[in-house]
Amino acid sequence: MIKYYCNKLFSMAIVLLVVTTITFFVSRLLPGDPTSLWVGDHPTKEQLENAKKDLGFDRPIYEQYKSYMIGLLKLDLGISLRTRQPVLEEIGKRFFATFELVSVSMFFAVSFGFLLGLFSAIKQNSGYDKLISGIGYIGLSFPLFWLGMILQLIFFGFLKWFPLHGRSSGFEGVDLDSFASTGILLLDSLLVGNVGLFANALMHITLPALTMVFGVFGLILRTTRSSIIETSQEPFFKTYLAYGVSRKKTIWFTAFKNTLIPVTTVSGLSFGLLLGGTFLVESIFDWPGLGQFSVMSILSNDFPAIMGVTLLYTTTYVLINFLIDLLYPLIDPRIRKINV
Amino acid sequence: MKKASGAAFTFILFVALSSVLVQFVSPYADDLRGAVHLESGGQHPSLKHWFGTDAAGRDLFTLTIYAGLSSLKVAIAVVLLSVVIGVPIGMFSGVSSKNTDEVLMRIVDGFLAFPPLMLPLIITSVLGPSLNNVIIGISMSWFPWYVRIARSQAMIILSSGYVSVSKSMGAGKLHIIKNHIFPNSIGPFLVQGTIDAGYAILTAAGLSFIGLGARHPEVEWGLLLTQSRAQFLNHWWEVFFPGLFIIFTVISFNIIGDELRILTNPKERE
Repeated sequence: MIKYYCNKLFSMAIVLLVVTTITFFVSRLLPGDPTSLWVGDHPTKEQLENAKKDLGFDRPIYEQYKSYMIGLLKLDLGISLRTRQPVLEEIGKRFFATFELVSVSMFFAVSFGFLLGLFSAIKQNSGYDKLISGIGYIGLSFPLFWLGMILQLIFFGFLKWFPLHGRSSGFEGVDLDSFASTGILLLDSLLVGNVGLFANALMHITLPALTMVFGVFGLILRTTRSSIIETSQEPFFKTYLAYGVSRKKTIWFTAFKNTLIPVTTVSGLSFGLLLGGTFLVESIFDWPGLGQFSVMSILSNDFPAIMGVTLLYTTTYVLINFLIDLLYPLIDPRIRKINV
Repeated sequence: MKKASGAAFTFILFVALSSVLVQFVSPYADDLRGAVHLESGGQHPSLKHWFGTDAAGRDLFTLTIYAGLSSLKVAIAVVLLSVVIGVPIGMFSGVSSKNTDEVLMRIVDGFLAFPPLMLPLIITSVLGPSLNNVIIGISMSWFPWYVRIARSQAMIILSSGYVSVSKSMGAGKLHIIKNHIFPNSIGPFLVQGTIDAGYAILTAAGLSFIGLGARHPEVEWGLLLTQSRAQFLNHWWEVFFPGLFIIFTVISFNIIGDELRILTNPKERE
């Protein structure tokens, strides 16, 4: 067991090393050089030279790489060219908005995907099954930004049920910081007992979360469904049926457990898809998180900011997949046995 | 399934042909070259303008059809580039010693460790917004999948009897890759390439949407959607139709890919 964990830890460390190296080289691919952004329009030659020295672009590439890696270990992500604030601080301000959106979407994507996949497999080949798996199949081919705009059109434009964008409205005067500080609006508002704000935040998160959920729940649905159907072709499954146990009950006692490994695996992938989705969904719904921040940074060529978000997202994604690797032996005794 | 893949193939063929021909046939072909008719801006879909017009009075049917050309270009270029980079590395890795293989695979794992969309996003933003850079960006994040497929194909074929015979007769690595591994692994690449073509279009549209891909005089589905953002709450048709084309194209490539998988793999034919 310990050997299994050590192996996984070691390969995660290598992946992180490779990932940061790739990111470093991508950031140096720049055709022009970022110093011109730093000094602004119409710089003198002297200003450019100084800026180059300040930012360290005059040194050989391996030295730049070394100081970049050391900086990362100290969590130094550099200074945003646009706001002139440390990137880490800028990320900190927006982290929880994204965290809230991604975790709410993740929760619903996994639960809907799993339950609908389960029902689909129980009622395999029925009209219900075809409809649900069809929707899941289509979801993966949907441009999220298009879906977001269509939802805004329907639920804001025509029906006027939900707000167009933002995280809350009409509560600008409420000071949450003095009460609670989880940074998650849905939680903070409840902690200070402000039900109005909670309802307002809930209305605001519905459409962006729905967009994200629709984009990924199909993946989990398909995996659950095909895993159950695969198990139901095993001899032991047929034996249960032959003894007169109902299909539903057999699935509950046998196939159900067998879905856990594949579903956990695709949950990791779904999490990555959701992170990628934040760029599009947050900029449509004007959600004040990291995705929207990156898109604004891209438009103003603010590379340190983009690289900061990239490193944060990628590290999180790698860590999540590492945690999933750690879960496997807990879920499946067969993996435990192989790795004793 | 046969019916679905026939329909999918017809749709892709339609997009390809119509996007090439539309500039010669459409009465609004000027709109593709940046003509502005403010007096006919923001019109509902009608017999005259099938998909309506945008704020600048451009005919959206002509634009949407023509946009298929850049999307198909992206799809083909991304798949070709990913194959050209990924397949040689994968096959080389598959026939190499354990250490070389290990190092190459770790690097490939690094590329795959980025969340989807992240790598194309930073590469395109560093290289500068353009459709060509989008192609480079997406390919750089997708070639690792082709490395993986090529490597596993190489390993399977390497362990088969006729390759051992060929080896014992003095065949070199290059000969084996060229004459045995490559011809025998075209099937999986064809399947993966077709499915990826759809997702390349989807990703490119997303990048264009946030301002990293196609730019104004160019016409692309994601770009059309961005351009509609200022007034889409009043002009639903500006959002609706380009998105529909993205969805149908991606699904069509998916269906064709599935059909190819069944055709190229006798085990799945049952």
